[in-house]
Amino acid sequence: MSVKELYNKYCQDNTDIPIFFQSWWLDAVCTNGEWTALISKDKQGEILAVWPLYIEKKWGQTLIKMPPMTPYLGPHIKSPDHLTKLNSKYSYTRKVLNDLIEQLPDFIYFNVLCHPGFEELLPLKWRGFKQTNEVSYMIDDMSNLDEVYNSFASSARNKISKAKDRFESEETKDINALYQLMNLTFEKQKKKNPFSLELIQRVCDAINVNQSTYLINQISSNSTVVAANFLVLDNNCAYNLLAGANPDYLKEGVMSLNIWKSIQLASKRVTQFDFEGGQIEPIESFFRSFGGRQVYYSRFVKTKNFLTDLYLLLSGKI
Amino acid sequence: MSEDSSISQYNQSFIQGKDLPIFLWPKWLETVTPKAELHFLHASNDADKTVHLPVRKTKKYGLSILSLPALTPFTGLLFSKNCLQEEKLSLMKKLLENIDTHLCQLSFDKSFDFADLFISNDFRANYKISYQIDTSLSEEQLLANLKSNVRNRVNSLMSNFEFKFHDSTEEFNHLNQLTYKRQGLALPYSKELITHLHQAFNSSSNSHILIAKDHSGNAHAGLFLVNDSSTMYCLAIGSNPSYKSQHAISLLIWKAILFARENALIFDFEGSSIERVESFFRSFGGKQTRLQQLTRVSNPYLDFALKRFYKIS
Repeated sequence: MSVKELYNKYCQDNTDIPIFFQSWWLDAVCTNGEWTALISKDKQGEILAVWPLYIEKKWGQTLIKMPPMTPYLGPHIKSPDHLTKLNSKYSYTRKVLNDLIEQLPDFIYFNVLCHPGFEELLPLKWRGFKQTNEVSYMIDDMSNLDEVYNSFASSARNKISKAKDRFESEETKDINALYQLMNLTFEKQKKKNPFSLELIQRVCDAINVNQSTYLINQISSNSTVVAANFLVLDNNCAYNLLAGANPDYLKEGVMSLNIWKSIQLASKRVTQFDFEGGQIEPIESFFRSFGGRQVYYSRFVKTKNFLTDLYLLLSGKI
Repeated sequence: MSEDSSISQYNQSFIQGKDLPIFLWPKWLETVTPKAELHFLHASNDADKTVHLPVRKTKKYGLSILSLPALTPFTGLLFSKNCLQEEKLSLMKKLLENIDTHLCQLSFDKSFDFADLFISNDFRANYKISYQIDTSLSEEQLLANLKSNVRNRVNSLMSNFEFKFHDSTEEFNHLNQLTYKRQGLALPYSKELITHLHQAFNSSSNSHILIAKDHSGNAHAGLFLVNDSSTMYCLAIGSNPSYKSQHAISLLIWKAILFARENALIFDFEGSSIERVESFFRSFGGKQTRLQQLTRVSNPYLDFALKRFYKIS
């Protein structure tokens, strides 16, 4: 079996794998480079762990990065349920992770975000990878929507309450309005939208082909779409992956209403809602107001040498 | 209002409740920090609700630095009684506005709820790892959880040693210095600090020096332990390299775990990220815990230099 066949088998056997690890997802988003997977097996050939990597080449050098539209990757290690003692579990995880680390290709730059379930930080730190925490917010249980709503901060509830009578909400599969609103949002921040319409369409097509789910909820005023959210779903969780809004309507609570409507929509299919991010001050305050639990996940960065570090510093990338 | 406040203001709002870690006690802070360096970041609102954050404020090479005091693994926030969550958030935002040093590096324990606010204010967050032993288990269960080589030592070598608590820190300090000397490292705190802490906290049974000696009276290893009402922290270890092969340190830690158990306290190794030390602590069967370390450097070039040459996280 090829590496990718082994990898696919592992993904099929482990249902807790996030959607972003699926090979069809990686095929869809890795457009400027290629992806591969590291695999750790025991002596009997059973796969114990995988680590998908997105690789870009620049000046003939290898850069290991996050693919676009992909918030988490990193090592996925099969839970050692056969081990009861904590020390044995830690030793097992460490051994498997060390095996994966040894398989990493030579690179000049490494910058990877690991999924929140990945907690074994020290082996990477000991090999010179700098670890920092990123934060997201997670609603763990959407089965009782009244409870979910009551856990929102009063400011969020007030905004929703005012907006819900003025705006219409609808589910759609069309990404065009979402994309226009994303452009407006980035323009307001004086930034370029990092995702192309083609890329988002490619992801949507891959989701459809692979019987997965994406949801777009949009908020309209007099038939004009003023806010939209794009969610992708796996077996357990809805990820609030993309969002856009007309800046003229932000003060009218359209984003809060859209999040609430998106939660309602997602709750029909999964129990968890991941807000996806919250590093930037206004977004952190906004996401926090929905009562989710803070979830920390690790970014690991390593550069090959001082010159790479210096280049990144001078180009404003660190 | 958002400004530094004094120890007297901190004392006023400090209530030695059972949940407060020893590292937030005024007496601890005054013992581990020179008076001129002890600061309390502070913010208050119109309803007279306040938050205090004790830190060490120093200057080095012209750089202003906020950090943790020596031998203090983490700091924490002291809010007024009955402070609502939304009030806490707004107080924290004010407090963060007051941090304007070149370098700020602080750690908080797992109960800390505001790392996201720090991150969104340009702090970098990472984890420091420790191990904690749940001493609600029976002695047999604790023994069974040890890695086999440690368990074998406990089963076969305990009778080679006498384990005693000491009022004096002299022997421990000597062992502690030997440990650092063997590694070619300077002691990261003043020679007298453990003595001062032990003098301040021994009478209230919050500080303990535990030493293992062989039957000829040779001190092999020692521990400096402090505790509050929930946790016993293993803050410093000393051992005589000449006797390393006799494994007194493993047995001493086992004794300390049992001592924590007698007092219904969690045992915390106050971990190390050094591979060899971490592996030793892990062999006692504890659960991995994490401290949030939050760092902000005032500009990227200084950050680059500090990371490169001073190895800050």
